[in-house]
Amino acid sequence: MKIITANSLLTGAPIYWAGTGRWSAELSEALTIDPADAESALQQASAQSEIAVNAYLVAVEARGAPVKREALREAIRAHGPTIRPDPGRPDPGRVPACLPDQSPDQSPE
Amino acid sequence: MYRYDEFDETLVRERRLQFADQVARRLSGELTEDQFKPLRLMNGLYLQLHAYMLRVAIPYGVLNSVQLRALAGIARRWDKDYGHFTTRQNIQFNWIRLGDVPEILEALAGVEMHAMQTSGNCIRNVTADHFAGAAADEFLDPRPYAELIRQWSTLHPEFSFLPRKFKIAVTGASHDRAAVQLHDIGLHLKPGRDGSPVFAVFIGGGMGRTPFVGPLIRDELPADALLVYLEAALRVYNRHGRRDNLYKSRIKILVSALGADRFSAEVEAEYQAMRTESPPFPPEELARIRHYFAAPPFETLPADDPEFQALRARSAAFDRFCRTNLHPHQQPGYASVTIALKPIGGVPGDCSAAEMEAIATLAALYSFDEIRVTHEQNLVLPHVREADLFALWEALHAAGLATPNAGLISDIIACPGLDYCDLANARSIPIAQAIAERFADMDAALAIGEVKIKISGCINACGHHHAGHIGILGVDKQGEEFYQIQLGGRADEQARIGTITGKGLPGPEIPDAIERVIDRYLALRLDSDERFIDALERLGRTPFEEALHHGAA
Amino acid sequence: MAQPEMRLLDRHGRIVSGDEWVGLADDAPTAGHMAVVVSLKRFLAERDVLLSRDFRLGVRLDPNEGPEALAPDLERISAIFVAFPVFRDGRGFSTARILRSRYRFSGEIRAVGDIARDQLFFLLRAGFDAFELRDRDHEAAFKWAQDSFSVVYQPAADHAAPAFARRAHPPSEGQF
Ligand code: SF4
Repeated sequence: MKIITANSLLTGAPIYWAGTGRWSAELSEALTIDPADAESALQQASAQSEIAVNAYLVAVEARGAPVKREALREAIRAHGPTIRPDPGRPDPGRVPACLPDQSPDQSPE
Repeated sequence: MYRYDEFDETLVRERRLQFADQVARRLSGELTEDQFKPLRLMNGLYLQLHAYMLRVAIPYGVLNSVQLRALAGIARRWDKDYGHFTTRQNIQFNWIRLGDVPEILEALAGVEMHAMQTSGNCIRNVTADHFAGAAADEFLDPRPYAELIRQWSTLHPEFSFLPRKFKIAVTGASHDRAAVQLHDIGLHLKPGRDGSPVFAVFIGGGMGRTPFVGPLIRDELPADALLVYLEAALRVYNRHGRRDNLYKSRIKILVSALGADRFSAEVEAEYQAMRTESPPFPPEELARIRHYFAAPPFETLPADDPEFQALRARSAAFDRFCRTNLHPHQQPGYASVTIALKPIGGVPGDCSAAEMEAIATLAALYSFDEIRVTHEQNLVLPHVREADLFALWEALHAAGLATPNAGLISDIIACPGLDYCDLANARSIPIAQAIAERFADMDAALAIGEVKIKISGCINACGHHHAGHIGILGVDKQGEEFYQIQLGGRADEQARIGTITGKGLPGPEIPDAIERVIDRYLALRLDSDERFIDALERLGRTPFEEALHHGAA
Repeated sequence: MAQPEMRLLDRHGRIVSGDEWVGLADDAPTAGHMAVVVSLKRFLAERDVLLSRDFRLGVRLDPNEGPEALAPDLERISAIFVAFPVFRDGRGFSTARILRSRYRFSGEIRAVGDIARDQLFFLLRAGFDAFELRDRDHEAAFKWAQDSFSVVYQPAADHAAPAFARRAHPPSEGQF
């Protein structure tokens, strides 16, 4: 499955395509899309260039967490830098499901 | 330091209005993202993982307290209360909203600052020795020349669409603290045969994907011919640098393809032709600029303040700080103080608004209002009376800014890496934190002595990993972060690119691996005066590589 | 030679109607034209013939072609067309500056290709005096570019006084 993410034109913050015309700041609200429909959905999403820039597809597993190559990058986009709690988004303590054995404020030790 | 006059001020204001217009056109939909992107990049505005990032120019790393306070104000009002000092002596704000940028630029312009030419394929903000005008080993203050270069390179009519970005660094001291041999052009100001100032010009150094130490292209260039020579070198690059391949478009590739001799001959021919064409740069202008860099009103003081020595003897912690964080000053009775932005467990180069304000206050009190930014991501108070050092240290200590590790193993350079950067393959900062925590014992670190660890989150090498005694490069291996280790790089007058060792290690193994290398060094060094890099060069890297990759010694 | 969507502007930003210049392919006959533009390759191959005709002659330089080969004949060449096939390729800026400051070329230097308002300020300074502009609102774009900056730091072909020449200098403190 796929989801669509982009950056908000105004704030630069990561946003997620939540279905026709709607973008959400929450990864959990991202609409999961069948791979077959992904390209056309991406086109639709990219057309909203006054809201979202750099829209792209991310592969996710069934429950919506990004997989493989994109997992770490997308986890950091969704939850903020792993190295300081202050600038994280709301709920900075949450452990991103896809970050293998690292919580946001732990070093790789 | 340099102060804007009406002309400098007008230009910055006009550039600000131009960019505000571009932002407004983007927000109104008149410009598409494709059209806007190159325009915002010409003004230091990047789109990163979490937000826009604004890179603010700090020409040759020189700030006054009003400017540092203004940066703190920007961090408070438009960012999340902190900024990040970079290896380019700039500051980056990580959490910027597009619509706020015109106001931020206005706040910057109010203190003679801007974000011009901090990105894009132009001549970037010039960098310099952070102890310029202060260091005991300096022949001549390079800042007037750096300011001359700043003006000359601003909106240059010929060199604003170069094949790629272009970085110039300048030093006037015998010990190179500006990494001049690792820049597109590195300038070393020194006395010529008759004592008048000349430049040694290194061209074609750089890090990134294809690292090179820049060869010496012109020795003994008369200092007053600097701009003509730079113009000639840039013209050869603009015309002949590769434009077909992003990865081969830096001047280092041109210099290495032609060979230093042929490249140097081409520049020389252009230089000779140009000298007859254009009026020479008026010496009065350099004199005008030099005027701004006159030494501050130093007092005549004895070389070794007895009270300072007595206080060192009395306070072990103060003495500890003085051993690592002071640099000898050209004026007797003064010293330059490094404020290491490297607290154990902190983020290298990060500085909170409150810290910036505290440092601004101390600069005004103790350092003739001057602050410097170092390429090693620290701040410096360049001109402090020895008699004031104790009071300064106490104030720094109270503000949590007295970490006594300048130049030690925990004084690590790290780029933002995957925690912020859109181009990253792996995180840099957590690796720096883990290593610093491993060497948190300051007495042990002092016993180890100077070790420079430099970490980049991708091949772009913003963290200067090629030039680290120990360099660490983050790579992506099928979705996992791995770290390549290099040994033996250095950024000083004996600049060298580190050698890649074995295969990469996963992040959690890095602190152990580094510790094994350091243990091996401690076991092998001749005495405590033989630095890590000296031992490495004497013994070759084999014993260290072994320690790195083959478990405990 | 302007493409349909392009407009030709002179150095004051005025739209030039009825461009007299005709661009010729390397094998096209020259007869019947008042002003022709040929490639550098053709110029070098047919130099003597081209210079002896009574039309006005222009030469087109691609980014990888410097003006050096034209130097001996510049007095008999009326215009140089400097090509900018892509916006970010800035080699043409060097071409123009060399023509103006080294060879004192006084004919027209025209910027052709992918030219947008954001280059205009630099093109004017480098010595161009004709522009094929792709912005829709050509005149506004030109004015925007021209009015953006009233201060420059470098002497250049537009003869604008650089800041150092406009500054009232304090008495010189002697040389270096
Ligand atoms: S080295 Fe790579 S990851 Fe680090 S800041 Fe530079 S581009 Fe980003």
